[in-house]
Amino acid sequence: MTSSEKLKELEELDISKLTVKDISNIKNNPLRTILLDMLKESGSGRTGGGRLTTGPIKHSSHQQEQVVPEPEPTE
Amino acid sequence: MVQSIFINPSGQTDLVPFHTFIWKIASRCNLNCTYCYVYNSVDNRWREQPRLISERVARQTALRIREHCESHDKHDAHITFHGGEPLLGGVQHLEMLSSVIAETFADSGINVGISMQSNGLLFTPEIGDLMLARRISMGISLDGPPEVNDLYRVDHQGKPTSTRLEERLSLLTSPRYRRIFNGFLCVINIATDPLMVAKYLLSYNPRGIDFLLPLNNYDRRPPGKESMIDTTPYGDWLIKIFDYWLNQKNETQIGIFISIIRQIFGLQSLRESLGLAPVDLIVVETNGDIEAVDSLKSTFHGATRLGYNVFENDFNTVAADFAVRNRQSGAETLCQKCKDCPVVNICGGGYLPHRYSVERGFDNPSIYSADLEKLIRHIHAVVFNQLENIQFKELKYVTSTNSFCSC
Repeated sequence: MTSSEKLKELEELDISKLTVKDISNIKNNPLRTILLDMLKESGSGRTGGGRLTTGPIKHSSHQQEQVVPEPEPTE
Repeated sequence: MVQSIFINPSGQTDLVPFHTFIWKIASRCNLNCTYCYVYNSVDNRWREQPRLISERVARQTALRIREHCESHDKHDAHITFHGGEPLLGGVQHLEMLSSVIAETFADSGINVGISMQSNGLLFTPEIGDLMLARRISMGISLDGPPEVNDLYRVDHQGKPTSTRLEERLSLLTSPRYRRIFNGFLCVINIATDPLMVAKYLLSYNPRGIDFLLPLNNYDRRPPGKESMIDTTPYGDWLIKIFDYWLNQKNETQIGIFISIIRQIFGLQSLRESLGLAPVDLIVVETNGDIEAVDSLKSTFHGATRLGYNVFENDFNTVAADFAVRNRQSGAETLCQKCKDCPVVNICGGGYLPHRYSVERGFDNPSIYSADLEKLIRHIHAVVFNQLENIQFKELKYVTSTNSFCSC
């Protein structure tokens, strides 16, 4: 099946079938980082409905919910 | 009433507990952005609100959140300081609020993250030091380089604000304060060059960027879609940035793109504006009123009103409300056109405010439906091709059970 045929179907891809080695073959761009993150996440197991979940989603009018890391110790 | 314009979901029994609590800690703003959904849209109830959230309201809200978490055995929650402009109360106000939260959750076993969305103009070293000490992170609203940002993001005299903001950004992105800098929110202006906007924002090396579709709907059409809703100027604008971003070596996460990629792989969206995951956020106004997501203010007067207040109601009562649960029912509450669409599992019908019309309430596809579909299909094709290029051996394709039709 060609890419364009796949596109028509818009099939869902299965992250669990990818390996770190596969992903490392992607040139270093944001997609590689995202795939590696998702692969790590998928290790935590699937939840209801066969879909992976990662907890809460974020309000669209607010930036990421990242907690400030602990300050690095100073001399 | 809000309820009358929603479709009635059926069969849902379990409450979805809230995770993100958006505190409107200031109900006024030092800017007067012409597109603002709070101050220059159809809902003017901000005039009735106290200028700043008080310690009394903050303490009661924090107690309600702790009570809600404990009733669901939740061990984490998030509070976002928002406005108006959340820095209007200065460092003392921020210190009071963070102290109230720390005291309320001390020894609770509940980890509460705090972030803020600000226009950044009032950021100072004193505020930065407090945010570092209290581990509060900050996102900045910025639409691009000065010639773009100053088109709409002006002060109350109509004067541009970018020069002052760039000074503040230099401070915020300095080594001392960079840890608290989360990134940018950027409202899309299709009259601008998307790559110029993207390159400018990326030059600050932000942790994240979110591009927001303007808060328009069927009755207040977005620029470029006044007469034809099937045109895709917003999809085209975003595709140019996606293609540029994907071929750069950078660590910046662009929320809309990552959310689409994640959903292509069956993971959950990171944004409430995309996907079918239950929406688990709620807004508390400066007077303690508990309201629906504030961007609904762009639809009609009183759209966010739920009729609850932290002094009279707990969050479980709110979570059980019809209007709240309506956003937690997946595809069930979407219009028929969305239900039949091949990308519904990814776009989720689009953002709720974008679906509104006086005639049909929220029973429409997003006004940006064609843009979203084009963007999703483009990203899907690019991801597919990149994976094809690495000649993976074992990657299988699974057709999701209830999502994509083959049209």
